Amino acid sequence: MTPQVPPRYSPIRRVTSIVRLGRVPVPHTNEATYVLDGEGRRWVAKREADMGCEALLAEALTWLLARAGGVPVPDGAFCDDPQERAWLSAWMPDAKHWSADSADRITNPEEAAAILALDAIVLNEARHGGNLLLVSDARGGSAAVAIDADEARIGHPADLKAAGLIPPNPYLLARGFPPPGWRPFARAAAERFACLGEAELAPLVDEACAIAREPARDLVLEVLTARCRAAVSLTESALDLVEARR
Amino acid sequence: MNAMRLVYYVIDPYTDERTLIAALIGQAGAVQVLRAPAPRLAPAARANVERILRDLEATQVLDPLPFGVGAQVVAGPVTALPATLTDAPAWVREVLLRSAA
Repeated sequence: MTPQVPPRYSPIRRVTSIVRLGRVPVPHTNEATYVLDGEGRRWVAKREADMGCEALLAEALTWLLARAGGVPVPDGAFCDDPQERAWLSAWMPDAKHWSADSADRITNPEEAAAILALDAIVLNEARHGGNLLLVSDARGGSAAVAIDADEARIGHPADLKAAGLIPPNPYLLARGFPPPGWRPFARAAAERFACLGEAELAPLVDEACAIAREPARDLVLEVLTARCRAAVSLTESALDLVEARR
Repeated sequence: MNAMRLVYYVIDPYTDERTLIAALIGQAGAVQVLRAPAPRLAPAARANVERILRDLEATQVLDPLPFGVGAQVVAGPVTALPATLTDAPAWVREVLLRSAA
């Protein structure tokens, strides 16, 4: 099978220092903070000390995979100051959480549906409304953007391998997501992910494991490769569960 | 008891620049949303505020705010309104929202 979209890979940007400006005022399992880096870029930071190295691995690897698969995610970076060690996600202005009452005029349904395929692969069951942004544009439309992958179980590769090829349970999934008619888009994204083999995934795994100081690189690669290979069936199963919930 | 809460849109959380977008009035177990006069905002921000107001208009309580409004919305404290008011929404419009325009 030839990949329809060539994998895009570039190393995660390293930021050497950050300035903390205040807490993000939403409930979150891992404390999120508005920070600036030395070049004035605006980020939302989550410290490894608060969320754990497993969550850092999940964030980094899911972000790299998202970029490779054309999933809408904010720019990402890692603060490697030993006193901070934080995952950085670019601040998205004019964004709100997903809600069924205001999720209209979505301008990127094909890309946004790929979030479902991504979550199926990394087994992320935390795609609630707080982890799905609606970013408004000047024409009144909005783009759906995925944030926060710290709870994806790819961060626990041994557990995920033991769990087998199971799809995410949608018990926390944002109400109204995905809107009707998005299934073919999610399937197309899953087909793209299924084209990523060990050779394409290895640099992503190496990069994420380096950031998270994860020693089980081979296991992470094995689990991720198996789940990408099964991306179509995992995504279809996940969508079946979503439809059964409705 | 009638109560109200002012709601602000945080244009820039890094400088804490914000603008008043609405007042929520709690009366007789229901919540009414009074929109502030249209703030001067860039088009994308205005579109976001419009979506946020729709979320607010679906709420039944003053606290907490609907989760969907996201991190760019903050609210003041829930405040009791004077018991002598005969038309609380008109008073809030006149005294608070108009002066914020």
